[in-house]
Amino acid sequence: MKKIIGSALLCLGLAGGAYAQSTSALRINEVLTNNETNYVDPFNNRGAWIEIYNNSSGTVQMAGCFITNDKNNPKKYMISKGDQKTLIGPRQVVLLWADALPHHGTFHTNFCLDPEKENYIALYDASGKNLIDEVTVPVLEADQSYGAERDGSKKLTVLPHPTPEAANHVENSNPKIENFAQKDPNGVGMALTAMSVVFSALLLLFLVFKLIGKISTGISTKRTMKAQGISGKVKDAKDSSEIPGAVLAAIAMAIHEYQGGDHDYEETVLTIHRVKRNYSPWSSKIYGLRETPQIKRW
Amino acid sequence: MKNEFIQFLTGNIQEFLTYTGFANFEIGNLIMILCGIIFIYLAVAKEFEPMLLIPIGFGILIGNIPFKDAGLQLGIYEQGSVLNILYQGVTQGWYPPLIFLGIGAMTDFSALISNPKLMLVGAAAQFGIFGAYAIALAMGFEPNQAGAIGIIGGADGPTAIFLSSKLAPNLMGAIAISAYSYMALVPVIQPPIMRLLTTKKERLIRMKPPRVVSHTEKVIFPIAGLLMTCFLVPSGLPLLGMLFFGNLLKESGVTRRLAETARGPLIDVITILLGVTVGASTQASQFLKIDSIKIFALGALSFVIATTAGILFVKLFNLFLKDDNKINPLIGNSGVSAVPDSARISQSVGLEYDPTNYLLMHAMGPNVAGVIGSAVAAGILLGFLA
Repeated sequence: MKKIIGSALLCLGLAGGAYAQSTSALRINEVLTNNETNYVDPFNNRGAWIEIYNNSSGTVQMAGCFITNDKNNPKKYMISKGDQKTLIGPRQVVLLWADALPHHGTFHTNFCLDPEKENYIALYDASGKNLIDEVTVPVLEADQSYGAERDGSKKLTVLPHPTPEAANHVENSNPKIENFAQKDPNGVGMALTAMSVVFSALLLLFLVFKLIGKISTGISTKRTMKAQGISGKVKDAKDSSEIPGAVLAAIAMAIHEYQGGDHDYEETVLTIHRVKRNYSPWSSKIYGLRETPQIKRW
Repeated sequence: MKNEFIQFLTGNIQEFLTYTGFANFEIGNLIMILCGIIFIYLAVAKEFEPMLLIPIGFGILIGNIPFKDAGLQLGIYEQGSVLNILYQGVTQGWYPPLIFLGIGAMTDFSALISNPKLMLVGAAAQFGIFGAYAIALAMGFEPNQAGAIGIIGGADGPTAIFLSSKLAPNLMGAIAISAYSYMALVPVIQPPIMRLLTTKKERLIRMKPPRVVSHTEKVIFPIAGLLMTCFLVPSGLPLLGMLFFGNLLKESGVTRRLAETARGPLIDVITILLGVTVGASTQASQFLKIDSIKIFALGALSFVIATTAGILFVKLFNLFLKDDNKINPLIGNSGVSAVPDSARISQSVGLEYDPTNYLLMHAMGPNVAGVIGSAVAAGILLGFLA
């Protein structure tokens, strides 16, 4: 019974952990409060919008989460369940329209943002108790957005251009590769760094297993001493850690045979195995055939 | 009416002829088909890595049958074709970790555990990767491409495929073929370098017999190995995680069925799929380029550098070791992770000079350390350049 309860608790813990980990990756990535000539929703309306970003390498389900502009009411708008579009792919975004028109669909909240003053926006998980992310958006000029400099970053600022449903920062190259190309054109830096890491990893393993080996040899020697009834210092005992000569001889013979040392003319060796054909119902032909159809006449 | 029918038949036959391999044939296809036949010949007649060269060689034949691009979903590069679906395991990089699972389940790390200093020999041989990386940069390759090419020096096919699929997918075919070709040619490449860099006295060094390794040590090895290497280089996790997991299945002693599946049917299935799809990915139009020739040249160089580095490191290491604890430099070559071929080379070259000096067990130490070292190196390159 204890085991069952323990397992159930463990499963619950793991499931809870996994869920928390997934929605906790969501970020309020960009907000536009004063939409005059910017993005238009599918109903041809211009409203304030909030961009939610999945800052993880896995897909996150945001259905059931709450978004609010009221610190005292975390459960103001629940992102409804049953809409496939609430699944946000890795490093992808979803746009919510803060237009107080929830009957327009899942992605239209029941509140709107005030362009004339600061707006508080918070995202809560499905319990409505755990805060995932919150931002306070300053008063912005028309068609100006406030968000993360780089997608998912906590550093928020007024962005030079609004980028609804797109990355806030576009990179046309891989900075890591460019950095290596510029600063290490001969590859010496890479060789030194990488070889140091390779050596460190294997040196660490070497040191640990040297220690483990010493402990293990010590234990086995003590056991041997006990078995042989020797008392005194460890060096008095016969060293049992080395492979006995007989074993080495057997290995050497096996290698010799493997290399063809057992026959001078390998190709001429003929071995005939007796073939046993024991009856088995599985190999019986009768089970593999269909019965002859029988015509029944009344 | 009769003429119309004959015209219809002739038109049909002419249309059919445009679909045949003969109508779409190019000289590049012939060259690649000859390469495939040479691979199969080497595997059958010379027994050079037959498990790899037969699937790859036949895959080259499959990939170089010319056909009309009529959207019939035939070729490996056509989305949704059977070959393309099987090729996903290569492009998405999930075949190599499964191969590593099997390698882990069939590798006995006892030689390494009993003489852990041999791990450093495995580390030294990774110079081949970074030597080739530097030369590739000098030849005008981008750092990410140079990294993918350099990994050939690790002499580990799955690692080379895994890394090139992430860093330079367009070069993957050439890198994979190069890595496997040189692994098959280890018996040709390594012995002259080994003889050149060692003295007769050094070749006769007899190493201390390895001690017996306890079951507990064997169980601790994959766990400690995973924690220490992957905490240091998390980007090596797909390969190292599977390698050590496979080894734990083997050494735990309580998951024999799982270990047998991993080192038997599973690795066989993946080897077949990996080999044949990598081979088929060498369509002449994609493969026959100057870059491929450069990659082959760099691959050979990386093997030479890796072998040289391993042997010279042992010689250097011996300066600090007591007389009864010296390492035979003929096992330095086995730091490249072509398991167990390079260890076999140490054994056979060693036997040439002393027929009673069996180096195989000792050489397996750096050999398996090389597998770990090359996976760590791949993780570093991935972390830096992806």
